Amino acid sequence: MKTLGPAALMLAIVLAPLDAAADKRNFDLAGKLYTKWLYQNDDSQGLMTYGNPFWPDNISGNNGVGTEFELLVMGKVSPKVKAQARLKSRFGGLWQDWWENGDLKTTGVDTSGESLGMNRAEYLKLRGYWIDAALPIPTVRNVRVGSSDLGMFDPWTIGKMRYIDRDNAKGTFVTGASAERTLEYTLAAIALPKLFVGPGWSTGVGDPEVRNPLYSRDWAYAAKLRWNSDALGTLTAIAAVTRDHEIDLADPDAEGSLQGQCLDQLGAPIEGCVHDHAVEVVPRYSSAVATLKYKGFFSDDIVAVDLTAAASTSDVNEAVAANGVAGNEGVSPIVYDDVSDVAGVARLELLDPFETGLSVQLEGFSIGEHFNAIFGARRESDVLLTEGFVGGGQLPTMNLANEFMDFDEAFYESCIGWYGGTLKPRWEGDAWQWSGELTWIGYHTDGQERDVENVYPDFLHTDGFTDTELYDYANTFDRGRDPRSVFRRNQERNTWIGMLAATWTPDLDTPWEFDLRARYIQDVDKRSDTTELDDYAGDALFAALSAEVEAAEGLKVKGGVELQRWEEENRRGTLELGYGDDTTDKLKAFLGGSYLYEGWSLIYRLEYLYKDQRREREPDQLWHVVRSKAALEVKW
Amino acid sequence: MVVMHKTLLIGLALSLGGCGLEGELFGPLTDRGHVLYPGANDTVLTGRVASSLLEGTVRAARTDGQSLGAAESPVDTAGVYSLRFSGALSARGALVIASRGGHEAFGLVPAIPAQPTVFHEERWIALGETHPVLAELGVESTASALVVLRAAHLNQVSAGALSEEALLDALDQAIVQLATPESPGSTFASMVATVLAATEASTRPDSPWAHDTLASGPSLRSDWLADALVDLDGDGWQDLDSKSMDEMLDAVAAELELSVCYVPDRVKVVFQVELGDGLKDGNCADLNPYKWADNAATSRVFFTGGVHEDTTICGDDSSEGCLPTSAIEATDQLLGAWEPNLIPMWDDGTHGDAQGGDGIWTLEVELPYWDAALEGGGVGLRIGYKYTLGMPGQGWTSSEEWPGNKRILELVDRNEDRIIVRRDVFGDEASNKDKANALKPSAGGCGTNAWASEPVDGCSSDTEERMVDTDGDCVPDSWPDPGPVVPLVQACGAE
Repeated sequence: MKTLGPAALMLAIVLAPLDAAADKRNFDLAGKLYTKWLYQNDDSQGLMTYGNPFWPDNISGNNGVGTEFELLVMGKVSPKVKAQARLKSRFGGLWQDWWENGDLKTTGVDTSGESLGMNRAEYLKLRGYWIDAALPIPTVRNVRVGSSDLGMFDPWTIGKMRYIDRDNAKGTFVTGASAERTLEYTLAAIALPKLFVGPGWSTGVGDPEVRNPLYSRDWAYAAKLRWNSDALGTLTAIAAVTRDHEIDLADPDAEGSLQGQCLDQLGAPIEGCVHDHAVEVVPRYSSAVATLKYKGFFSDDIVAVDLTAAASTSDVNEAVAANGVAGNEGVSPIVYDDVSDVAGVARLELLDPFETGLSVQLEGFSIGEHFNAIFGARRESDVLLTEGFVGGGQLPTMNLANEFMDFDEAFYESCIGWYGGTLKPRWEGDAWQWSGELTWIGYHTDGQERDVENVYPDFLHTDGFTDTELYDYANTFDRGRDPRSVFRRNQERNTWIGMLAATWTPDLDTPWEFDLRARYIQDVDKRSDTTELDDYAGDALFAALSAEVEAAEGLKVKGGVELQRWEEENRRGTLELGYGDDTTDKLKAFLGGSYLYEGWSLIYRLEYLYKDQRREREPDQLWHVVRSKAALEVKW
Repeated sequence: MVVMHKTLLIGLALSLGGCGLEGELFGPLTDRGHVLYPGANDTVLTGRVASSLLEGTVRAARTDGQSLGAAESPVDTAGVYSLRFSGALSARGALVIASRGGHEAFGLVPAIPAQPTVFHEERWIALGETHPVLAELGVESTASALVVLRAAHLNQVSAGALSEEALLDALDQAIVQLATPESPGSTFASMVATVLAATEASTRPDSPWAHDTLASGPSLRSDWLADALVDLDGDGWQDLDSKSMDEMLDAVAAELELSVCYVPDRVKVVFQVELGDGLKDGNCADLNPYKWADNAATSRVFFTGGVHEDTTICGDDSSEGCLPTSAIEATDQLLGAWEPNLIPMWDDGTHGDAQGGDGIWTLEVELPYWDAALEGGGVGLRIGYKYTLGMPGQGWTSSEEWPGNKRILELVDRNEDRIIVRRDVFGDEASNKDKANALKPSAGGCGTNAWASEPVDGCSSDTEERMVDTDGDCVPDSWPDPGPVVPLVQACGAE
């Protein structure tokens, strides 16, 4: 034993570094630092232009600078199993917030520096985590347990999570395929987010009809099946179901039961009522959306065909889901009724068929007025070709998220009820590129005396072009229609959208690029068919010119100017009070750029915005806004 | 085969494991399909008023003048009214009062029954069919109501303590008295007619009737009489008080024979607990009722308790002044058997609650009873109880008044009204809490609350029905009002 002991010690000393090396090979780290500067000539303080539209938050505002840190921890458990966790500091603390530790002291003047809450304390939070495993099950390629951005589905069913939510969705995901990948499938069970998929943007939390929200048993289920054919294209079927349950208050075992004694109001026994320590649940809200999509290329890829057919149902249990239409001034992500509808988009693309540089996209679309993708994409996706009214994109849901973003980010609008067509030609020459759009939109939501008091959400503000550059959630400053507003009490509407854009890249030593862009929208709504006094006619013209130059290696500078004029007859009002003819003029000038160097990535934008809103029935309004945003990011 | 088994097992685990599918699959297997029963449909009392009261209003009240909960009903041009009550309401001896300005007549309704089931359709009761005198609210209904109310008082009971049959019989007797020519009854009827005629002719908006003393004292308000120029007794002079009328009323009422027989071995017990802001505890100190219980918006007040271990249980050789063994379980169940947040208390004007929304939560319960002064050697039925503030089915945590100890009460009818009313303040640890009682030594507190029937030197007791402070000086001054709860009565001669 005396000779074996030192030998074992020596062996351990020799092998120890080998073990450590093995651990390091299976372990990796990545980091990122992101800093943002915001400035605006107003008196708000914070790090985000548009914060929470519902609850007051302590991070939004237009003046501030803050930093966030992200740490990715990646592990290779074995050749078949991998794992990753993402840690990230909370974004909201200003550089001025010395000593802020997240305490909340809500009374009186507080000079401790410990009063602003955890959002300002820059604490590190576990944001996402997943385990991927290639389990030995026939056809199964991967099983993921944990976070996903849900990008494997589509905007109509379960949409890819917006950037800020990209790891929030968690569930179990099974992907598989046949040996030749002719057939691929995905199955998913996703924990339903408690705060947006359902009536009142919740799965029971905060619902006045729900005493004790049971959200931990709410799930979404989805399945995708894709058939691939080299010759015929790709056919994809996706189905998604959301299931929001609540406690059945008729069950005497339930906490909060209304029949806990199994007696009725008069004290008589309730037949069949027994305490069995099994608590029943009832559905609060269920939805199902399915799409069938075909995509194929023909004639040597000159012709591309993209077809989407979709159907949705929406079932609300009025006993445990409050009526957000009646009780929340028409602000609700669902029609307060059991509804279903279909939708379809057919797109044909000719890719330079005459080899002259001219390509054409043609699209027809029809989305039923009761179609609603409650768990569909909320932003950062687009289902139609048209630029629409707000430019960002169109999505078939009222559950949009134009929130938690800055002034330079795009807005999205609901296209529920839209039908029509779009023609988009594009020509690419050596120095010039031209593109255009012509779109006509009719509305399945046309009708008279629609019940917007109890059934159809109108989001309170239904009229006028939406000003997404000077947007405010409460519409204190008359910013026009809510992008989610698709229902109106009286509507007989149609819209034309035209766009022409040109890019000129002259053959110069210094690479300059000039953009010219003009867009026109004509929106007409006869509204009530009982009078012409409320007929709406809106004309909006947007014209922009910009130039960009790569001034030095990694340094791009861009500047430009945009003019807008909106002329709207009978823009907003009521039949009783009358309507007013309003005119809006806007001027925007901007200067910005980016600088990339050795992993240093800096972007900057400074803009001046002038708006003159001349209103017939209300006082005119004037804006002189100067604002800027810079962001610096490094990764390692 | 192995691959298939492995595939099946892994697939099943993935399908079920944490995917919410267990609930979807197994929930229906244990579901009983519970149905939420509806509330009882309304009870509607309908009748007519005298022509002088057309286009007035009608309301319902207890005999002490407190509202009975129905909304006021307008009287249409045909003189018809409809008073709507919750179908859960049950009352005896209620007044239906018609008024047009100060012109006011009323009638005594023997009983308003609760709906037989929650599925029963809305029930309309034509008061004229319950007793002919109620067919029209006017002089005769008013005079007969006054006579019966006074007769009950002379028998030292409230009208509500009489059975429906006794009240109907009393009304019959009163009608006979009032209709007998040249009798005190007819004289009294004339006086009532005089009052109504005076109010009909007057523009004064206030009622002449002293509603809070109709049964026991002056039937008319003296301040009204002072301005009314009314000659009640026909002596040619204005009457400044209702003495002559009240004497005549006493005489007529004395002629009535009322049958009042109480149930001997059961008693109505009313638990009332105050919950809200600005409360005082037994030391007259500011009380925070939410020291232990969460004040959540979805919470309500519950009662729970059971037979106290100190209760005398009947043995082989004793059957009086004690609780039979067979009644222990049933009594426990009536009191909630110490299950928290099961038996709701009410603050909505129903289930024995006097006034909806006044912060006084009420539980009305019928318990075994013996007169401790006559049986049991001065010891009554003893119970322990506690209030909770929570949701139905919630546990003790964050809902009970305080952890551990309980309240104790001995069923002794201190004010001899055949109802035991115990008024508490939620979370008051200086009242009838059995142990760790917070009553100050200066007020007799010794940390332990001894049974009043078994006093302990140096310790005060708070274990029985007691008076409460109504004027804010922390000195008990009145017996708590039992509200609409009436004593248990039975047909005379019944065992």
